[in-house]
Amino acid sequence: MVRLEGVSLRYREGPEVLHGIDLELEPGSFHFLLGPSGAGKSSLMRCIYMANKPTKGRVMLFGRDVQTLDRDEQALMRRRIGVVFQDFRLLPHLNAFENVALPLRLSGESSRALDSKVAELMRWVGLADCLESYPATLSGGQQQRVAIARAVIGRPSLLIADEPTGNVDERLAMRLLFLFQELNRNGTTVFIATHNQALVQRFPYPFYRIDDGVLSLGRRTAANPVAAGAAGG
Amino acid sequence: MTGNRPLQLPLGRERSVKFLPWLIGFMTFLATLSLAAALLVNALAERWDQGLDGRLTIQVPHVEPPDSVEDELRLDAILKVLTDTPGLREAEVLDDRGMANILAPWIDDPTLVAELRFPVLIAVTLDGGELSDRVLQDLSERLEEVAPGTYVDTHRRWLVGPIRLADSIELVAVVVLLMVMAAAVLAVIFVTQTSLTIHRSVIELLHLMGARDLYIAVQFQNYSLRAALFGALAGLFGAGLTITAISYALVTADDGFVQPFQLGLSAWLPVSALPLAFAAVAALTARITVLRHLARL
Ligand SMILES: Nc1ncnc2c1ncn2[C@@H]1O[C@H](COP(=O)(O)OP(=O)(O)O)[C@@H](O)[C@H]1O
Ligand SMILES: [Mg+2]
Repeated sequence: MVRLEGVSLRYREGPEVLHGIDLELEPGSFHFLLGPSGAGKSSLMRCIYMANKPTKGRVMLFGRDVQTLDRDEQALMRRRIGVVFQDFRLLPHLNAFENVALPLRLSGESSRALDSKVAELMRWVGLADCLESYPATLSGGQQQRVAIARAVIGRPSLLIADEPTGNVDERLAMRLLFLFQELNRNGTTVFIATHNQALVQRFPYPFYRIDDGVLSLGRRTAANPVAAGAAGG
Repeated sequence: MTGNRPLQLPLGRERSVKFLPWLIGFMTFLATLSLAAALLVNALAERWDQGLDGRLTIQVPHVEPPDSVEDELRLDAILKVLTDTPGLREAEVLDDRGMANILAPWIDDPTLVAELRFPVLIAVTLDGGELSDRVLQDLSERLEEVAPGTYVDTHRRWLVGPIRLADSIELVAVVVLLMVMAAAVLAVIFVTQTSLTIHRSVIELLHLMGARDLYIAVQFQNYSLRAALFGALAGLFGAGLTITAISYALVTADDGFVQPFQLGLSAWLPVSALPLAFAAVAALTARITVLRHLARL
């Protein structure tokens, strides 16, 4: 599903922020990406959803090297990937309903099917009353839920979520993770970045650790369920 | 896809894009006036041309020394040549008596007119359109044989100057039209590029969600089409008013020049097609600009 081979990244003339990362996400798997702020979680995810081109290494998605895709093939592949951006990236001139409907519109879904799907999902994330609201009038947590709904509405094969629970309280965070779990049970490969160790503790999924742009597979121990090999908690 | 959905790109809200319809409107106004001018001058020149069609005049000098019998023989020979020439319908001889009638207001003595020995004029009416240059040449040569010094006048030389002027006015008008079109293309490119910059992050997001370049280009194209069509129709309306006002002013001025200044129905057709041309050019320009811009990303 996702394979990174020796991926390094630097932003323009800046320092390297990802160092030779190897990563594999099997189809249907569920992984966390745990790391402190500034460690490179967002950068790594941007490489996976093709927002950044790695300066070194290869990114394979759905069995294909993304470097070899033409623009239309890239577009089609991106439709199979749902992304929750850390900064939401809602379109300010569209209301919540239209923001969530966007992926379906892009893939040419008929209006009628779309209406009920969007409404149902919005109810699930607790935003049934906000369909007509514009992002600027929504709280951070509400915007985050709109962003999540938009990422999952198209039942993507791969879900990439960058700190999807950073702006909501504990209870809502759990609820949103149940949503991801549900999606995963239906076959979606899920990859969630977070700096919240407590959250990772609650779900028995494998996790990667990233520190200063270096990736390692996390290990759960009896004493510390989310301790990392060398870097420590 | 579906009809009434909101644009994913909020085009037309930013200031630099808002003035596109105005710009296109003003340009269509200018282009319409130039096109109308070109068509008017063209129609005018054609009318002058047609006025001369179907007629020519033959001047036959008297023989030297004066010999009225010889004059008659030559005239008969000429009329025979004319009868044998295909494409001529009628020849009317304006002899000394006819000439005396015409000149009566100035010279009231017919014998004096005869003494002045004006060349005999033969007004020829053609059978239909004009004669080809070859037939004319042929006719001149045969007349020269039977009556040396005979001159066939198509009156066309009087028109060379005005027609050349009309042609250059037409050319200038067409050049102005093309330049205005080119300016419109540049304006659309500029506005589209500005808009692409303004909406860069929205476009990036749409891309990340799987929008194709064409999908994005079509939104710009449609916006451009609407804006240009709106502006161009307004421009056409303004130009139509201006043209009508000018013709009206000329009609009331009431001189011989009036009639040619009315734009015929056949001229209104290309003039009305102009806004459509502007809209099409604007839409296509926007589409190509966006596709080229995105392909470079
Ligand atoms: N667009 C950018 N341009 C330059 N540097 C960036 C950019 N985005 C992130 N960085 C740098 O890359 C490093 C990793 O950042 P990021 O991937 O956002 O970490 P995280 O998501 O784990 O907080 C940081 O040092 C940050 O300053
Ligand atoms: Mg981040």
